[in-house]
Amino acid sequence: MIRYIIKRLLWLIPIIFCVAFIIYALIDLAPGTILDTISTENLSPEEYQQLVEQYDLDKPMIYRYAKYMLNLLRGDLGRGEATGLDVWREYTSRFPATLKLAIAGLIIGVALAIPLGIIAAKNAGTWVDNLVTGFTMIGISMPSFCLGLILIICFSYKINIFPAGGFDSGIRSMVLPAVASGLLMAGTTARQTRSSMLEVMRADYLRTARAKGVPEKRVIRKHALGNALIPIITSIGNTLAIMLAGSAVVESVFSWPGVGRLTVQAVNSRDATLTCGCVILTCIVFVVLLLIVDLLYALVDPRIKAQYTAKKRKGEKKHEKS
Amino acid sequence: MSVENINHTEENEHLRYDTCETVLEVKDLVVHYELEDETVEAVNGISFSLKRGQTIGLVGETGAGKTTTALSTLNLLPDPPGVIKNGEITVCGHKMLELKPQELEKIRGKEISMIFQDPMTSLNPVMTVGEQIAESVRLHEGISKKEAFERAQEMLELVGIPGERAIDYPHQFSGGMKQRVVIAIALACNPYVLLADEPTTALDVTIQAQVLDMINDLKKRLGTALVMITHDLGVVAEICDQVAVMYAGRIVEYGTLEDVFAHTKHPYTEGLFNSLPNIADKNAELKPIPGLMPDPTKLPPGCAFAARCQYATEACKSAQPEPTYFSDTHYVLCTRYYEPDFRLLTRGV
Amino acid sequence: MKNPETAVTTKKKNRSRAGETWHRLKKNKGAMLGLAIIILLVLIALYTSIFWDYNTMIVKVNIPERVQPPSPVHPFGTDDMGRDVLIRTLYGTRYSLIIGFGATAIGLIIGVLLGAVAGYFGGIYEDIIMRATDIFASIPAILMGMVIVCVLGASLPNLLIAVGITAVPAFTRITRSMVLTIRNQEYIEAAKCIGTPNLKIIITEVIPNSLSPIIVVASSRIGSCTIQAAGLSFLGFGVPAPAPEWGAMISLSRNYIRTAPWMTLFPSLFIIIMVLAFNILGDGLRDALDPKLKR
Repeated sequence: MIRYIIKRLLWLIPIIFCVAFIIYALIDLAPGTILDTISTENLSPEEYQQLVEQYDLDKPMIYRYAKYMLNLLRGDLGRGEATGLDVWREYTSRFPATLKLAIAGLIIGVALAIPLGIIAAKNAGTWVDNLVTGFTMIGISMPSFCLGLILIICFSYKINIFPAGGFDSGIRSMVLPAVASGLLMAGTTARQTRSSMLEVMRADYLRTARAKGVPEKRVIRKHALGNALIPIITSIGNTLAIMLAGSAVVESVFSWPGVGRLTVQAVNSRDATLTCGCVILTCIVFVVLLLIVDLLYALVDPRIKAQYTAKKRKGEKKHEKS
Repeated sequence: MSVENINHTEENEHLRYDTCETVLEVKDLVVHYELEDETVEAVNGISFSLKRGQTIGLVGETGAGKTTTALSTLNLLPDPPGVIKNGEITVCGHKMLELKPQELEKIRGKEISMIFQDPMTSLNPVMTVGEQIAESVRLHEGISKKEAFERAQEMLELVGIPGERAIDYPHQFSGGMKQRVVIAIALACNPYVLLADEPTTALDVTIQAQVLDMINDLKKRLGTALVMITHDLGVVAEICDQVAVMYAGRIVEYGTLEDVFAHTKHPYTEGLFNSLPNIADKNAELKPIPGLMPDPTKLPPGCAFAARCQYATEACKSAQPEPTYFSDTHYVLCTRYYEPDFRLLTRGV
Repeated sequence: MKNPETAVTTKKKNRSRAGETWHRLKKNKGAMLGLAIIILLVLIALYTSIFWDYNTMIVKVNIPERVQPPSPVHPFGTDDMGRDVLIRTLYGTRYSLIIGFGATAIGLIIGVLLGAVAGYFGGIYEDIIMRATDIFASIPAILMGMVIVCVLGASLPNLLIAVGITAVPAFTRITRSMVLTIRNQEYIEAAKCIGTPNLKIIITEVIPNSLSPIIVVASSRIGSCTIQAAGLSFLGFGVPAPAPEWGAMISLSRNYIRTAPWMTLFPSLFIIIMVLAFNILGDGLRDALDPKLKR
């Protein structure tokens, strides 16, 4: 188990190398440099040259990349060229806001999605199912900014209950962004719950459970849901990862001071170091979260646990999963 | 081993037990599967009854309606598409088809339970086998978790699995062991009636014999009435008192083991016997029944077996046969027995 | 008890696979509604430029009529530049359609080829391709899209590329796993035995046989590509103003959300309807292609 975790975490190293390389290469390919974003008109040629040297703009891209990676190996994510922000400090100061929003969204989403999915699966083919399926379909078809703006129009302007954005009014300012992310999550999760419950619903072991007199409620909650959980967890994990990593859109709609907006800001100002740092840290969050999801499987399904604890593991296994 | 413990509740229930001599009664059962564009006529009016401690064998090919009958008995037919069109099922005085879901839950597993065909898929993969056995005991006898778990261990011992394996998950057991667990679940509350749906089909031959012996042994010790569903005449000969031969949703021949095996009357039963290899005479040719079971969505108006029957006449194809009785216990559905001197060619006396 | 599949195959043997799928799809009312909406949107996209001139009707500033609420003359109202929101929204259909289909097509072509090579040849090719896919997939799509558009410059083709590239891993994975199951089947062995070149086997045997799950992934991707592209446009990494791309229109409308909600609502409605149509059709297609999944 621990070997597996270490193996998965080691996998982050090539990811970080490649991600940094891709970003440096892309930014190098792009027309213009960091200097275009700062006003250089008033600078003397010497001062300009100094700036070029400061950012190593006269050296090839690979030199800047190597320098960045060496610093990274020492644990230094650097300081944004354009923004002048300390990447690590800036990211960690923004992350709690994103995390808060993601968790609030997760709670709302799961609380809505799982019961809805179960109800739809239990009444498969009836109008109840069609209604739920219709709602979840709208949920997955709605871009987050549309939902966010519609919520703002309804609840901030038409009836002024919740603020349209920002972080200042405490829990009340969280309601709309959390509902927006929660509803978006609910769509995918409810659909996944419905389809994996439907798959499990005809399973022989449910018949066994019914035949021994287990009440229907318990058959659904314990026997069916227990077995349907893995794809549901995967779906929740993926959505949560996306919410943590790329909530740029929702954060931008609600002016939420999270990492998503930081990244947008970094990209907009052509700040290679800050962009790179944001993307790398986000990737780490992403990968760690997916790892946690994988470990959760073992908790839910004893067969998977047996796989982890088995001495011999095939390399192929990971292939299959990824 | 610990049959005494298992039966500890029996004394309180002696009264009930005595008042229901006939533990299972199925009357005129008709079951259809109503699919999108067609209707499968799976069971077309069957009746049988079972007294306590007795064993009946339901014999027939795949698709004869055996499993459907068993599931209907528990009122556990998947609905949709299964619909019980007609009939009455009584388990120890309870009319199964008229009860509310909550009342049914109290009877299933306690008074009547079922062993399913495929042990590989019949166990919940994410619960330990101990939990799965204990669940049934806890639900029906309202005892503590710990007591129920101890009972689960006793049950495992009873079916020949060490009690400490109760904390293992189904994937850690072999097929034969899983079937034993399934049997332990079914017997955990010592039901009056046990439905066994091809309990040995999915198992290796050697394991088959062990499991059969075990069922036979448990049945005798616990006094459970057994409905044995099988296509294997050998299994029937080994443990059944009565035999019902099913074809296309009807019982075509019904009688005691001796009636059916020694005095075979129905051409289909004759065909079944003739399809078996004869060890005594290896050179004897197998005589399989020609053709296939008719499509259950379009059953013929007359005898369903007529198309494959070497004795069939025009009369067979036009009208459903009525039962012809040879004794109180033995009857067949065959039009030809309307003729007083009709005899099968190879069997029956 | 009874195998419904055999019943189906015996009854409808004379129909081709595609015909059979179409027949099942036709019975699905939702999918047909989705298809009808998509056809309607395609027609709108094709004919808007005939009815309305881009320079005079779509982007021309008309200050006297700015920020007018919906009225018979302007059913969806006008925006901050006095342009008719209805006409702009209708005209914007083409962008979302092009992005939805185009980005999915880019992802599909690259992904399927990579997946087919990885699955068919195995070994080192597979390792390299799948590892690269893993790395690629661990970068959140929206970040990737932002960086790519930022680097290449904000324009429709660049947005297409950015969204298309992020769709590649899904196709690579599904194709590889399909190919892996197909690779070892007898008819592929047979083709190899008679000396058919590898590439020909991939194109004529492997890809067609792994088609239906790929179609399913593609049909659900169109919707999510549309959403993703609109999101990028919304953040300013998309089709540049004054083009009436829906995401960009909504982004511009935010300053007027309090006074002129119609500027936000109508383009939003169109995005939702388009994505909904693609998703419903995708669901129907999945059921039609895989009858086993259907109840």
